[in-house]
Formats: sequence, structure tokens, C-alpha cells
Amino acid sequence: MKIPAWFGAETTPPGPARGGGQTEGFVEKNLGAVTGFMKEVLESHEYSHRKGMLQAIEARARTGGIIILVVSAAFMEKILSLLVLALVAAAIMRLSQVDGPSLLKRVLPPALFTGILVIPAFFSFITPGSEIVGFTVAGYRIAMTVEGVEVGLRLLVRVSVMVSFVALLFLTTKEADLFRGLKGLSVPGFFITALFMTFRYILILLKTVEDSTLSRKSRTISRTALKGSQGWFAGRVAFLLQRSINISEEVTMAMASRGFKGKIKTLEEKNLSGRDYLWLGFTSFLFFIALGV
Amino acid sequence: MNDEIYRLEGVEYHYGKVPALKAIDLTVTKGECLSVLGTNGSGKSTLLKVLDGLYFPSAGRVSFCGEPLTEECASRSSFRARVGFIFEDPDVQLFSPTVHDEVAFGPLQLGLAAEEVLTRTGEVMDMFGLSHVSDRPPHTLSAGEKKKVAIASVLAVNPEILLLDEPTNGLDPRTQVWLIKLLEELKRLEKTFVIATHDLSLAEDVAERTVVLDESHRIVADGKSIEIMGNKELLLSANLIHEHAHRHGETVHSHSHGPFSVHDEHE
Repeated sequence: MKIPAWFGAETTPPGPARGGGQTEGFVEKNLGAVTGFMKEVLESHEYSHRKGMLQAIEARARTGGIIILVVSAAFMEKILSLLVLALVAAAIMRLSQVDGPSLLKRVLPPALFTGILVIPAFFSFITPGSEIVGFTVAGYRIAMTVEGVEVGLRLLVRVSVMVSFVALLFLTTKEADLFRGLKGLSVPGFFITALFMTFRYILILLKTVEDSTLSRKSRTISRTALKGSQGWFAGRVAFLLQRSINISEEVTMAMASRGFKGKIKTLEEKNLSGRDYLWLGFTSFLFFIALGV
Repeated sequence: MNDEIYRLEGVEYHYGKVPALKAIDLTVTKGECLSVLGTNGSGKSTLLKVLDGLYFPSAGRVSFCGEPLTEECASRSSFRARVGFIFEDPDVQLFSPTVHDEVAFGPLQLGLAAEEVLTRTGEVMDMFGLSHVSDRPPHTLSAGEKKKVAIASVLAVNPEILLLDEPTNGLDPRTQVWLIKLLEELKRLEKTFVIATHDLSLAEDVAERTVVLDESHRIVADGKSIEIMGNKELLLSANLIHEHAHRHGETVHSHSHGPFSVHDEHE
């Protein structure tokens, strides 16, 4: 093996690191942030191990109850009723030892997205009604209406409440229990397996993205141009696609090797306890109230 | 012959146009422990997948217990119950929500009664010291624990033939020793092993017979492990060991170097 002469030359002065500055560009920063956020949202180890109300309820009952609460929110017409349901979500959060900021972190992005989507509904061209404030453009009257604001706010609160319940379920449930809960609700095994494997291998692919980003960062000496980063990003997307295809092939073979023939067989679940029935009764009670308000 | 498990005659396999196996002639008999040695990319993993009925050869014949190993044969529960495959990367093998579900997966797919599945799962997890991680998702475990779960999930089916792909890869020394001890225990139960590896010490420790695949994807040697390990030219030509120069005081000399060093070549 012949080592080139320049390998022995001193490339940088010895001593503490200096020079350079910020080497992370737009793409790297965002990729890192998105990966971190996804991992945090998908992994629920912290709260699922705490001793709280939701954690004490059997997975099937917990999942079923949360679905009932989400459907109840869909049926509620009055903003006030939805706000009462939001209080129920807050109480469950408290009793389940979940921190407010963790829940808000999961609720705010979809709420913000919904907020942007409902902005047109505030105006008279979507929801005609009593004018609050308005202006005329080229002879056409554009005004914010009471009815529009009501419709928009109702949708916003409804989505926030629904997302809160679903986020509480995800935060307080180990992923294994979540899929067991879905199975208990008679969701076909094939869908649950596909869902679980998607969930499971997203984490592996996220790790690949994270490692790729870190390896690029470790070799980036000066800040790279956006165009260069975009090219690198496109290359990583292609690599991830290839890797996910390879993983799916290997997983299919691993399953076939252990006798899988297209139908998943699983063990039967234990019976529900009194506490689980109490929870289902409480959520059903709220559902029937929701039908009337 | 009654004891013959596998017979491969002129087996070839290609990934598209890229060859992975060429002119493979091989027999595996009941109760033997065979190691398949070769460098990265020599075709060891592909050979194991052919033996497990996951890949079917582009040319040549594979028979299992005297019967052609076709897709129909490989899809039978009896074949899957008899042959267990431990993949190199445990991550692809561990796809169930918990360790318990993972170990129970094989027995359930083979249609065993729920009680027997639970008994087997519990006993295998106790045997591997995995009971304390029973409810954990397998992907949250350490590399050594993942390998243990992967092996436990295959052994729960109680296969008589075990195909192991690079079993010591990525394991710390303690887990490697544990694995070798496990293989020794299983050998006493007259299980048949085919171990693909480039770890010469593993092959020497557990396998009585070794075949060597070289970079042309052909078998270049088939014999007793002790004889193969003593054949320096063969191991050098298959790139399983390499010449290494180093200094002893004022003396600079070269000798073969690999996972086992032949230091008796010192002058």
C-alpha cells in the first residue's frame, strides 16, 4: 500500500479549533430538526411508563374510549361544548401524568395548519352573515362575518380537541399496546401488521437519515451552497428509497422463513377489568351527551 | 442416502446480470455442523437463502431430504418447521411489537395451540435470559440482545436445521462466547448447522467441516475445518487472511495475519 506524500503534511495548525463558522445550511438544519421531531413524536417511552389514569386502562379499552371521545367531538355543534370536552382532555392529561408542553407540541402544528385552512371561512364569500368588519375591493364587498368566525373557530377547536385525545393515546401507550388495542377493536390483522411495520421501519429509516446528516456534517469544512445541499438531499432520497426496498425484501423473507403465509396469527387477549368498563362507560356517556348538544 | 439433508448440483444464482453463486456442488448431512467461509460478497448469504427456499437457483438443482426444493416445497409448514434461518441483520428479523410477540411469531404461524405457544415462548425466553425485556419493542434493545431475540425467535420453532448468517457480526466478545456455547449445546441435540461467516475462529471452534467460497463465487475447498484452517495458501487466495509485516526489535518480517495469527512462522 503506497501512501501519498501529502498525507504526512500538516493541513491545519495544531491547537484549539478555529476559523470556519456556521457550516450547516438550510437543508441540513431542517432535515435534522424534522428527524428529531419525528423521533420524539413517534416514540412514547417517557409517558407510557408513568403510573397514570390512561396507562392503567387496558390497551383495547383505552383505544376504544379515545375513539369514542374523538367521535363525540365530531358530533358536538356548540363551541362551548367543545371547550368542555377540551377541559376533559386537560383533566385526562393531568391524571395521566402528561406534561402540558409535551401535549401542546403535538397539538399546535395541526391546529396551526387548520387555522390557516379556515381563514377563508371567516369571510362573507364563503360564509355569508352579519358583518363584523369589512372592506370593498373593485366594487366587491369582502367582510368578516359572525357566522364565519363561528364556523372557523368551531372547526379549529374541534380539530384541536380531537388531536389532543389522539396525542394523549399515543403519549400514554406503548407502541405494542397501541397495535394490540387496534387488534382488540377487530381491525384486520393484515392492516395492523402493515401499520406496525411502517411505524417500525420509519424509525430505522429516520436513523439512516440522521446518520447521513451527521456524516455529512462531520465532513463539511465550510458552508455549502443551497444548490449543493439540494443535490445531496436528492441523492439521500434515492438512497432511502433503495434502502427501504431492500429492507422490505429482507423482512418479507424473514417472515416467510418463519412460516408466514400472508395471514398473521396472534395470541388471544385477556378479558377487560371493571376499571376498563368504567372508562368505556364514561366515554360512552360523553358520546350520548354529544349527540344532544 | 437417508442422512442427506441438502444436495446442491451445479447451482448458480444471479442478481440480474451479477453472479452471486457459480457451479455450487454441495451436500449437507444430518447432524453435521458446516461452516461456509468467504469474504464479503462471495455469495455466502445467497447460498443460505437458497438453502432456506427463499431464493431459487438460476441454474442447477437443489434437493431437500431427497425431494426437489421448489417453491411449493418451501411454502409447506413442514419445511418451515424443520429449517430455521437467523439473518445477519437482526433488525430485519425483528418485526413484531414486543420481544414476547417476536418469539411467539414462528410457533403461531405453524399453527401450534395457544397454550403450547405460550409455554414454548416462556421457556425459550427464560433460556436466553430475555424474560425481563419481554414487553419491550425489539428495536429498543442492544445489538447483543437483538441477536439473542433473533435466535430465540427461530429456536422457538425447534427447527432441526439451523442456517446462521454471520452470527458473530457486531457482537461484543462476551456475547460471541455465549453464542459459541449455545451452538455447542445445540450440537449435542444433533441439530444440523450451516454457518456462513468470515470469522475463522468461529468456524474452527464449532464446525467440523468447512467449505470456502472465493471471490469468483465458486467453492474452492470442501473438507475438515482443521485441514482448511491449516492451508495457508488457500486462505490467502480466498482473501480470508493476509500477509502482514511487522517489527520485532531490529527484525522486520512478514507472516500471515487474520483472526487467528500463525505466529509459529516467526524465524
